[in-house]
Amino acid sequence: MLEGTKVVDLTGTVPGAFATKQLADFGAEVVKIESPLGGDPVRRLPPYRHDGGDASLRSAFFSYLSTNKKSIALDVAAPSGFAIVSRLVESADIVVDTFTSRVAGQLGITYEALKDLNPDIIYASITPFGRTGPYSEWRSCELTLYGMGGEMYSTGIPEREPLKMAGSVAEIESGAVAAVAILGALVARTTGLGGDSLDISCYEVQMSGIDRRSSALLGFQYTGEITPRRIGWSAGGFPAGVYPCQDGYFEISAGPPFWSRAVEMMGNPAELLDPRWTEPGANANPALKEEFDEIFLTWALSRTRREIWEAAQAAHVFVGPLNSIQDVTDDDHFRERGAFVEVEDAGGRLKMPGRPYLFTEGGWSLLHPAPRLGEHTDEVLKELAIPTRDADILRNAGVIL
Amino acid sequence: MTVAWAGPYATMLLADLGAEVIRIENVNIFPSMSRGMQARPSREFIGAQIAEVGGYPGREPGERPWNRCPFFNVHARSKKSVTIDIRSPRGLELLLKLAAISDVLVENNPMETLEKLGITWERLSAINERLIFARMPAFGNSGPYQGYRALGTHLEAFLGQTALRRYPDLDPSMNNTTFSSDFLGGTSAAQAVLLALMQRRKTGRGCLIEVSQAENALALMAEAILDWTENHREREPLGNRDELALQGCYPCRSDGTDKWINIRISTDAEWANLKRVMGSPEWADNPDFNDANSRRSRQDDIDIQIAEWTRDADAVELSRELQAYEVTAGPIIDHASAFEDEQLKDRGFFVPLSNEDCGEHLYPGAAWKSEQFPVQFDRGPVRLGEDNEYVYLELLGVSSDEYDRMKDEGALGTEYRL
Repeated sequence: MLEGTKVVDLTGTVPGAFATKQLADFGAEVVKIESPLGGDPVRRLPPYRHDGGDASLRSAFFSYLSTNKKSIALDVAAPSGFAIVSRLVESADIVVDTFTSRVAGQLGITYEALKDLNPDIIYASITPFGRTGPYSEWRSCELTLYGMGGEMYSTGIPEREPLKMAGSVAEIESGAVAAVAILGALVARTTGLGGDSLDISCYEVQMSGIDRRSSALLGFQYTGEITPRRIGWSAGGFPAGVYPCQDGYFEISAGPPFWSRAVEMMGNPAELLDPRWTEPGANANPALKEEFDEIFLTWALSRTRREIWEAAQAAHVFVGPLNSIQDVTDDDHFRERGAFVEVEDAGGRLKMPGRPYLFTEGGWSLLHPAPRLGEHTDEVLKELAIPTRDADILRNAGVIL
Repeated sequence: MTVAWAGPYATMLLADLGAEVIRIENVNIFPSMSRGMQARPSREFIGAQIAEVGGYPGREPGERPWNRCPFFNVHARSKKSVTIDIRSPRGLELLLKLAAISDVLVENNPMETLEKLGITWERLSAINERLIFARMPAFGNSGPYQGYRALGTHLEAFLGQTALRRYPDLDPSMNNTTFSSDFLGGTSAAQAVLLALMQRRKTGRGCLIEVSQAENALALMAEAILDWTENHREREPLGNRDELALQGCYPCRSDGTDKWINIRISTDAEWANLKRVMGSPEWADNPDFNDANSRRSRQDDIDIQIAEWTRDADAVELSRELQAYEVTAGPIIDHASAFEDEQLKDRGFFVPLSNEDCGEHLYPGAAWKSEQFPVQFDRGPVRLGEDNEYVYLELLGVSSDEYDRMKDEGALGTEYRL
């Protein structure tokens, strides 16, 4: 879908890698420019491959984040290295980096400089806090990004410290939103509106994020109240939250207005058809909740996650079984639809999530696995018509690998 | 035709990029969890909810509560709203007419909702071959869970997030609901629409997009999934801790407030710098703490000491100090302090917006800054049916007689009729 679109990828973080993955996986030619000394820091992130394979593909996470990309190992800070990057920029559509303004300034990578090379270039900078402002040079990680930008404050229980999500949720979301901004600029450019400079702050992506954060911020503006940490479903009422069952746990959200559906899911037990359950205020009554929980737990504990989920779907009740990761990777629905793919790269074979979404025409495709560090250096230099002799000099000087 | 969070967030992103977004709503149907949990909630009902859900301005439902709900209004900027009762033949006809002159239709209802009304890709593409139709089912339009329902939090349960996202010493039943799959789902739908627009320039044709929100959100679990597929290792819940680094959330609450700081130490250099900022306390000189693995294995002991040290500090000041020493740290920012935050103020992140039913407030702004096309908000959160006249009379060419008649019959309006 993006065939013919060229991207110079100077990113070195998870948000950056996930943003350019969205471009590479839909047909853009994404050329990663990595340091000859160890390459993209994402190559060092867990989980790791268990044995053998190319050392630069030790990170399974990198292999997932780098499908369909090319890699050249090149020292951007060296003048001769910068000259090669400049040549690539001249024929590129998009440049993406994750440098803070100080580093970008040192390297000479600014919108002005890139525009001189290529007036229609789209330049996207994806940084933790944006290119300006008092935090612009601050360091960041998933935990601090979620703690500052995301809704960590109200995640967890009141008696304890705020809690992050599992994995790198905030960083992945930030990269995904960055890809929207880049694709938006690309659509504009294709329409003849020229290039653009995009300053994407992961902090602001989180602050405007739909996972409770933006709503809670607006709720504060409307009421002066801070959304506290609490157990269960944001909207209150019951049954709601995570309950145990025969073989684990499930999550349900069936407070008002879904009460009658929940009762139907349980087979309309006579004791729950009593009008006192539907009187005004009943669903906010802690004593009634306690009484209900006893009935509900008896029902749930004699059923499996699967049985409860099926009963819920039949009654149009929102339920999700608490799966293990093995449950997820072995799931029939995902298997039947081909949600996972097996990829073989220089690090070995690896099963990973495949297409994020489907189109009736065109779409996600896996043309190349993640590259070894510098796998495409020679190929790209050849395309730029840089003589082998010159390449050898650069290689001996440590500028390329 | 979007509801709840994922769909409206997708169209918000498209509106931020400059698209004209028209919400299709219906005065005769109240989709719960869109413009509130209920059309006319009582003061008591919303009063029992946290501010994110029940935080209507001044905690009052007001005359038209559906225009006042924070979890709707936050994504409704720059959009238009028309009310069409698509269950009537005339309503359906008008919807199809609107689809005929549009570029994109986005919806995230249960699969059967539109099917029952006869709104299918086959029908839409026959009317407008350039139309891009983005659907966002929970699980998909095929497969064993075709048509299954879920909100973001149930997808997170299904995908393993809920079992992993918790205090390691507490049962998952102590969890609260989270919605990261809505966040990624909405973002992905916007991406997919933009990709389809790129493709349409080449082919001249639109297409059907299917964002299975469950499949899409596998990306959020990528590390745990890869650890299983590669190493057959089922990850354990880590709380705020990390596989490689010493990291945690520490109290800054000597004055009894609920303030915290996150700190991450991944290298020996960062540990040395942390010690410097702490004033080189004796406990930290322990040679056992000199490498990352031992710091991790002794984290319980170290955490007690760090928490003792952070207790009297101001989280923002301490973060600034640690950052000056190249230590990754940041305060936990609650909803009040977000509006006081220096960085966000400096970048003008929050934007004053208003609608007639709410008055003016600061709203979270755009997720990116563009030099050529700065994101502009044409208007505040759209009110139900605010653009009925524009859509019926101007876009659809309905006569004013018919418009008035439909209004009198209750087929359109600005108030829910239930």
